[in-house]
Amino acid sequence: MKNLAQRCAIALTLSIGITLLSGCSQSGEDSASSSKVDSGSQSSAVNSVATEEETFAGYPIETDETISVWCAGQVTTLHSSYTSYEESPFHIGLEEMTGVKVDWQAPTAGTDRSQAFNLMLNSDTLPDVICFTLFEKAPQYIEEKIIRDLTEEMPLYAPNYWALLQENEHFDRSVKTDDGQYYAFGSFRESEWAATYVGPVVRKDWLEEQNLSMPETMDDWDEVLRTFKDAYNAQLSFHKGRLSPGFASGYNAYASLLATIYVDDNQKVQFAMAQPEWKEYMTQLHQWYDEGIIDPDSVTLDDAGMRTKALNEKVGVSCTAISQLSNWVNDAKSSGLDADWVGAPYPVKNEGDIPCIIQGEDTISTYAAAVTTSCPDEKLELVLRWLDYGYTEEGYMYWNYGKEGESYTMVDGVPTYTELVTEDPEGINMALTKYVGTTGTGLAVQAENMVRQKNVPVCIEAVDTWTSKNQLSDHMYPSACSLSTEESTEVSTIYAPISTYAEEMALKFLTGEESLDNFDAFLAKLNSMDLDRYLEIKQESYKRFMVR
Amino acid sequence: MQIEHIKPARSGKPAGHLRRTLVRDFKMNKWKYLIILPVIVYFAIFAYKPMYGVIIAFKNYRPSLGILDSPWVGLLQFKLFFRDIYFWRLLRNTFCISGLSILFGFPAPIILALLLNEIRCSWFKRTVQTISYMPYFISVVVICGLIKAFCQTDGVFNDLIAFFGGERTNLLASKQNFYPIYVGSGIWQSIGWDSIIYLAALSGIDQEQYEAAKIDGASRFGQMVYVTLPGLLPTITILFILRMGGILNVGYEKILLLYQPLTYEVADVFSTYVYRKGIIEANYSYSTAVGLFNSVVNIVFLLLTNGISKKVNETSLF
Repeated sequence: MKNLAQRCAIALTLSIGITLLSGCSQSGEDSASSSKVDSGSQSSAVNSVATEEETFAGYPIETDETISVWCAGQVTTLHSSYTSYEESPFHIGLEEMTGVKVDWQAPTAGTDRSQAFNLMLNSDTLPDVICFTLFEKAPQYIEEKIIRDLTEEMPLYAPNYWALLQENEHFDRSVKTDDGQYYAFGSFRESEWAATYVGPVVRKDWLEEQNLSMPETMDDWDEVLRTFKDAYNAQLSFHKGRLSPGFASGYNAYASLLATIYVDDNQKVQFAMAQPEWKEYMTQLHQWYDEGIIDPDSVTLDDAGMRTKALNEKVGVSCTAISQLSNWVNDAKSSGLDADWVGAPYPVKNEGDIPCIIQGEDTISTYAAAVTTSCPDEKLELVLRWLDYGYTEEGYMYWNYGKEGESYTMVDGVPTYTELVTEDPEGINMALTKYVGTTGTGLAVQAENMVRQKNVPVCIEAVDTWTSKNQLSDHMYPSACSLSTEESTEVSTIYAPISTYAEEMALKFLTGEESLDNFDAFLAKLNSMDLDRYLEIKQESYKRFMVR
Repeated sequence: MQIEHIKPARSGKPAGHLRRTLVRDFKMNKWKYLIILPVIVYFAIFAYKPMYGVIIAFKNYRPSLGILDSPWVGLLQFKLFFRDIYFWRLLRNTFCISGLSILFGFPAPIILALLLNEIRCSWFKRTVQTISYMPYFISVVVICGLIKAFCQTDGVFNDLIAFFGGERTNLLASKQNFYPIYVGSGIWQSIGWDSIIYLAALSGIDQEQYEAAKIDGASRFGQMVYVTLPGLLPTITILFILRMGGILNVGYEKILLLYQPLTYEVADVFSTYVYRKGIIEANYSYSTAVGLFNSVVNIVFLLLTNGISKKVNETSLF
């Protein structure tokens, strides 16, 4: 049954594809040629709008059709006070704005998302739209006829999204395959600022008490840590997942205790722990550990444990996320402590340098929406128009702020949340999930202003401090690189032992269980585990990504 | 088709006989057959039918192709698994953790049951029993949270160590402490619950045997050794065989919550390694191969223990 249905679908897709090809070759060439000319992009946008207006009457679309959307992400996560999407203001509003009824589907709460996704792929008919982490396996899915190649249709039916891609090279690269097939609607962040949320933090009140200035170089940090240890018996404690990259930039290293790859100045993919800079950095960390400056509990601490340590004033310096930082600040306030936690800039090697790396994610989230082959051709235009909505000006406002006059108003030309959101008893973060679709991953561009408004000032200042001196994407390995089936099998076989060994050794170097004199043996062992081959695959994938 | 039909009829004496016997038996016991029917259906549908899925251990399973259409790859998944440089370490750790849990964890509830059995004051006995099986109902995440907090340098255990003049260390960060913490907390959590079955078995021992032993001059301890323990032996044997049949199934959630890279060397087991590999979601074939390997080792141990037990004390599962 499934086979027959699949074959029919393939035949249909093919035949329609051919008709489209022959029918649209003219306009296809047009948009391709105009997109190449940068200065001409504006006129082409005008052109496409003009042709669109004949066929497309704008939102809300008049239709009786329902489209089904499977999504394991923020968009389908209901606020706890609602039991269905018919009660949720964001989903109701989206239907009103677009005119399209949506049958939202999501994995049951508490189930493993990847497993739910794979099970869903196994069913006979797929939803029209699926939204999940697709980038790595997308070429495979297109080849297996699970998701549609939208190269032809995207410029026609999603003109706003298409225009956004023409403007932003990074977004454009991310949502197509190495072969140039467009298939995805991405969940984008407006700026790198909003993609950064972890960094060094320090007790500012203690700095002031000890007449110390905000540390910059590793020597400054060393002095601060020693002073805090003597004066307050406070240590450097951290949740080791949050110490990433931690203080590495102080030695021009690119990782702390987690196995990390990065792109170096010569566009080469490198394993951070195999570098001499990392050895130097670990030497410093080990020395701190040895002298009792680093809290030995850090090896096993989680966020909750860290929070207790911060509240008990046993920590003077740490590395944490803004969500935790706001907890610490609240704890201190409610228990009457003077603790004044602030974000500190990432350390540098020499005064005045720019930190080589800071924590951050890609400005494209790994979540993306694709149209499946189960979506019939008649429906394709509607589905694409619906997806395009998030990338229109109106859609941008709706996805980020909800309805004007309800959840936001314009104050001096800036959309500002109303009391309905800001005064919610559960706090602004929970309140936003009722009215807004981009707090996590949405089918739109996430506004920086939204992120700024939902965070407390101390967190915003912290992110400002962390990001002030660095271009995040310089050394980051892009999240939308894809692997072929063979490559991904090979990588999963090679990489597990490498990361296990590297992270195990990193901690041993830290605690001194293994001497850093054995660093060369460590490198030799890594090489015997095919580290070179792993980097080679990643390099190829990166190269293909960069020429997309 | 026709020939096949005729065949049994012609040479049909035993077959026909068998059929007649079956029919007669069926008529005689039709209600019993009816009663067992749901059980057979249950096992057929939920245990035997899914078993064919095991073939994906020998395939490169792709969700879009389905189980039957995925390409065969022979023993590739097993090769990948056995050739992994951490294979032997993982195998050793699995056996160590499981072995120690059995060595110390298996006798513990028996001892508790024997001790409880000697208590004559019934309210005290019941109170002890209730308290001892309470931890069983606490989620493993909470238990591990507690263990972590207790093992920190400023935790309860370190307070005790410092009180006796020891040095404060992060207990969970050292390899030597992992097994005692893991096994000890395991015993603490399940001792009460596991002792229930022994207490039930104890109540089945004939009281006249105790009286006879008393008349023969057996002390309390003598009664325990010569009456109570032999009475418990069949239960102990069966439970032990079952336990051996699960030798490779270690509680990986707990390991996952308690270990970290510094203790990988002693704590990393198959299930945690595969979990970290992120392969559970991505590669069903590989995890099926690992699962199949686990099952085979388990069944070998089960049969072995069962065989030995059959010879030595004539109690066995089958």
